[in-house]
Amino acid sequence: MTERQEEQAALNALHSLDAHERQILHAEIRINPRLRVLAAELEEAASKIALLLPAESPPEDDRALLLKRLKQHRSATVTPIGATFRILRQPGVAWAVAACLAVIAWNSRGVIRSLTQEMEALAQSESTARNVAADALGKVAGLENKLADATDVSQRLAGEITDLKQMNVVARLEVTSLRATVRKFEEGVAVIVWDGEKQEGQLKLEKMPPVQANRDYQLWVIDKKNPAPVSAGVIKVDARGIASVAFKPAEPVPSAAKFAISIEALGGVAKKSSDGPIIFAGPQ
Amino acid sequence: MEKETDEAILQRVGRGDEAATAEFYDRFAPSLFAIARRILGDEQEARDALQDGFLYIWDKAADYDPARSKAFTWFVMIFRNKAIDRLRASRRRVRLNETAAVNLLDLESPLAERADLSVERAESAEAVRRAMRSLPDEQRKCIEWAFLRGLTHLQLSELLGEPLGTVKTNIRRGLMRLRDILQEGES
Repeated sequence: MTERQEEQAALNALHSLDAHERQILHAEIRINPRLRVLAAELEEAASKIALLLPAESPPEDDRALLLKRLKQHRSATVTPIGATFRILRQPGVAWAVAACLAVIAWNSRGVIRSLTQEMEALAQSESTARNVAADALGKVAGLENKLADATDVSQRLAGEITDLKQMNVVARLEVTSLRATVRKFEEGVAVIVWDGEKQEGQLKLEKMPPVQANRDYQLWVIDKKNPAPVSAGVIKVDARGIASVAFKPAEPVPSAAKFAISIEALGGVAKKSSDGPIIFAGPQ
Repeated sequence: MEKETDEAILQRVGRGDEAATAEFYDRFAPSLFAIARRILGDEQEARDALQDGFLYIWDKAADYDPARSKAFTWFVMIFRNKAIDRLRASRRRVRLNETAAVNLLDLESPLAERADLSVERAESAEAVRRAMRSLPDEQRKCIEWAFLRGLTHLQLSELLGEPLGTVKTNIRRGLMRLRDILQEGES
């Protein structure tokens, strides 16, 4: 059974299908016993919601009115056979009626034959229509299976595309380890992951000694074609000498060749000055 | 003496037994009137719907097949669908002061001792209440509004501001979950 069929059965239980949809569902129910059971079960579940409503008695008069209407309704649909038989029991009338019936029967032979032929033709048309409907439902089921297969393939491809994209991201990342240029910082570790396409990166520092209170570490990115370093921001290390920060250079660096860390005035500087010593640089 | 089942009484109605029809009315008219009133939101309309529904049942009871559905399901669905058809024909929309934030059913109060229900039906009602409470809000809301206000999936989509596909999925999942919980409770 397909999700669409389950959906239609659920909507049917809530009387939400339009006439055309209902017709299709009922045609499917006729040839699909599981769908028939599901539709009945969902109707039963839905009907039980009625139990949650507190009962409300209709006005007293309505009961009498209904029973009166039922009596009238019943007598209107019952054929008055008794009166007819009383008339027919009179001998003259009975013979006349019998003669009339005989004439009518003789004349009706052709009509009956034609009606019989029409009924046979209708039965044949009905049978053909049923076969056509069964074929159509078979085709619908086939198409639904194809759609389900196509959806699976599409989902698998989407997964592969995501994997490829991730691989592509990894491929374009550069990992650089900076080397200390000052003895005091030789124990320190500085690693940069750089995404040139996105112009952003991640810096990880460990075992860094604290800087003076009025100074800060500052990261620089140097373009292959432009010797002036571009600031990538101030780096604050914690009490254990660790920092892990995402950075983005202040201006684009199309072909970043080197990275450097210097010690600058508190808050950092916009342009690299000769005052701040470079303590890490790389790659070598 | 054992109480006559709903199925047996309905089959007697189908055989044209007027006394059975009166019994059927006495047993179910209050519940059916409550459904019609809730759907139509108008007492006179609900009274008319009740009369029409009983005349319809009188005509169709002979077609009722106990092997296919429970009597309660059969006639509740007939009355409910007739009330909804009446509502749609009158082209009245959801009451303007109502929004999706309105809870159409009181699911907070336990029903085990409700005076208007027999012990057996009160137990069933309590099971339904618990089952409805356990549904995720979005599924319960779709079912409540479709059942008690006769909203189509298109109208639900408009009312709840959800895509049509989401509404259909919520109805399917909610109703199937409701069926599963109720069946587990019965077994």
